[in-house]
Amino acid sequence: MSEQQEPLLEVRGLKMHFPIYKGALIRKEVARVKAVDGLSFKIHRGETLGLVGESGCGKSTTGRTLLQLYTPTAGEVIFDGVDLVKLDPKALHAQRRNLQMIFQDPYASLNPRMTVGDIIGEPLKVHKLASGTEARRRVQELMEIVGLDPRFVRRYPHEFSGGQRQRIGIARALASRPSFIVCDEPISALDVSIQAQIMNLLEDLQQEFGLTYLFIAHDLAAVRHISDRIAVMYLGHMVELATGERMYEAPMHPYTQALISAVPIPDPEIEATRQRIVLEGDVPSPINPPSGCVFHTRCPFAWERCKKEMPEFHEAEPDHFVACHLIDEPSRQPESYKKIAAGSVSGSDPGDVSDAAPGASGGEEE
Amino acid sequence: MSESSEPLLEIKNLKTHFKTDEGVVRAVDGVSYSVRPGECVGVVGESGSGKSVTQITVLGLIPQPPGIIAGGEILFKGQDLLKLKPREMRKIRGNRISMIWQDPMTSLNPFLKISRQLTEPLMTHQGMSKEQAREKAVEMLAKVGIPAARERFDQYPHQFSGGMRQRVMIAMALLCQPELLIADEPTTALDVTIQAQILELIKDLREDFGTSVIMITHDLGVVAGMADRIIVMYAGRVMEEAPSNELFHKPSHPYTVGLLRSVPRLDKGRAARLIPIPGLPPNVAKPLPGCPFAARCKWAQPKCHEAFPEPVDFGDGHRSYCWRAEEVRAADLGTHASSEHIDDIEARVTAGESIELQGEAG
Repeated sequence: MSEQQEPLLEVRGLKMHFPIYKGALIRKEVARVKAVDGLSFKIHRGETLGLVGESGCGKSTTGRTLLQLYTPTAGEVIFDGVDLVKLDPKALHAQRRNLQMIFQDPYASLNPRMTVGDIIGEPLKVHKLASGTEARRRVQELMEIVGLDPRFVRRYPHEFSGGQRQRIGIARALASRPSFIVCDEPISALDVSIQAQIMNLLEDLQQEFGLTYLFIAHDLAAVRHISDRIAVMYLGHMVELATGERMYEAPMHPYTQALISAVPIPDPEIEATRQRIVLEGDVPSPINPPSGCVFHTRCPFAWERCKKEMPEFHEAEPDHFVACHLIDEPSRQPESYKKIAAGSVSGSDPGDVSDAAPGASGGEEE
Repeated sequence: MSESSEPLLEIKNLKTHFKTDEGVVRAVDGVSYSVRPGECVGVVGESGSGKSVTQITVLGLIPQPPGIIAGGEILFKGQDLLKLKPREMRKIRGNRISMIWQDPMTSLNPFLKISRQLTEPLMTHQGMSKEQAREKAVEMLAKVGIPAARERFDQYPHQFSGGMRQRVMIAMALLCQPELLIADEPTTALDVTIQAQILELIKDLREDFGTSVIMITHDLGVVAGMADRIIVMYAGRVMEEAPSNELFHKPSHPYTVGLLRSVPRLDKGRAARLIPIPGLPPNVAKPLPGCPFAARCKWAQPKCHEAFPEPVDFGDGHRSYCWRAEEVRAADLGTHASSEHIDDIEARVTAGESIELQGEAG
């Protein structure tokens, strides 16, 4: 994942606005939902980029816009040197076999009237990759790869459980041998014990076929587990992008800090010592986003500048991007913020614990 | 919170079944656990484990038919709720026992102003006048953190955001100062930062009112920070129950171990590979004689398929319903265990070895 290598995908100034119309006879655009409002980032070959954020932050729209399922309002999506936005429909269709998607809801994303064989085989037909015996053989192979019994090829989706349906969706995505797959909340509709099966499958497939993933989820723990780098979105903007390690150890954006502190960790001892940053209020509407920094209405550290001026998304430290005015005004950084950004408050740092309770240092376990 | 104190709620060998075309579904099949005054009990399980149906039975809300309460007792302060007449049950439900449902979007009536929905229980259960009820309700809304509570009092549910609606639900549940609050996945439909707000709120309210809480969830993280004790359910049965710390650090049932290992943790990076539980949950309409987890369990032996085990009691309220509970406990597979250690144990178990019991491990 060296920087010198050309990225597989580069996004520049991507915007996706959805117009809202009013009036029956004379339709007039009255407002716009700024679902995605100016994203720039890269995805390297063979990596998994995790995209997290709360509902309505634009993470799914980002995934769909990258694949040109929506026509972006502005910006470039450069895939393997080609700007997908500028392609004509025919050229785009040809590119599509390289870009696939796995959907959230395995109940809604499979046609109930098609057999599993037809569903998985469809990309082969659409892209004229195989037919007849060759296609049947390939479908069987795909079913084996994702851990489905090839004897079930004539069954219909309703005969499968949620986890198995998700495997069907994954097999379909793999059929055209893509290099890039957008996984849009692929595990959130599944039971806990099944989630791990699907995550491990995705990891194995990445190893085997050298896939690049954009893994979109609201579950930060799952994203941390599967991703090399993590991007955090808030209200249509990317606020921070860093390696999973950095993001957990030393988050630099106040929103990321709050988000990480809000995720419960399944260990009562750790939970008992964690400091939670509880954000006030709700996410504002993307129709009328706040001026300046979109997070300023909920940010515990915001001041005048944040209301007026939008912070630039820039590389504050090597491979660590962030959009916050606090970064270039260290004098404004409160102690609590500095501590987290410097990486001294992550999880159960033993040094920090003994600071708080000097008497307890003798009883360290392990 | 000692074992000796009289339980507030005691569920004894409860069986809630449903008649369906495919046969009798044993949604809850012999569940026993109790809740003490002031305690927060977490009930963890996957969909279909019976964790919610148990509590819906407690509230007397199982439609019969198709539901059948095939056996058991639900003692609330010593009184068997299953023996009460509907009229008597109505005096308890929403008054002394109340509930927060999972989905705040669908569990408030969209046609009624929240003022109407909030004052109703006070007027019905506590015989307050409309004015008194309004005062009390506004006060409660403010307490659960709804800004400008008085101004928003006459709004409709759709005018509130998801997190705010859940606060309205919580206010409604707490109005009559219930002795027991049942929260069924109260934060599952919410974003994490809002989840954090709601969990803090439930914690604070527990301190203020001394309410006992049953927290039903599939999220081990949520109960880790909230619950004093945890009940793990699977396919209509209790698998293990233990004080929170014990459950995470000394799990004594293979299913509990499986759950702990299959969940990604924010504080662990990519290195910690997830160990999924193989296979699928069983069909509760076709019950097998033995332990329902046996088909997916690496520890399973022939007798596991023949009979459901009696609980093994480790003291301090820690019970495991597993034939090999002592071995699982001795294998030390809690959250601190390393992947190598688990792989080693699993290999030995798969090879048919039994895990020797050490003396009391620290």
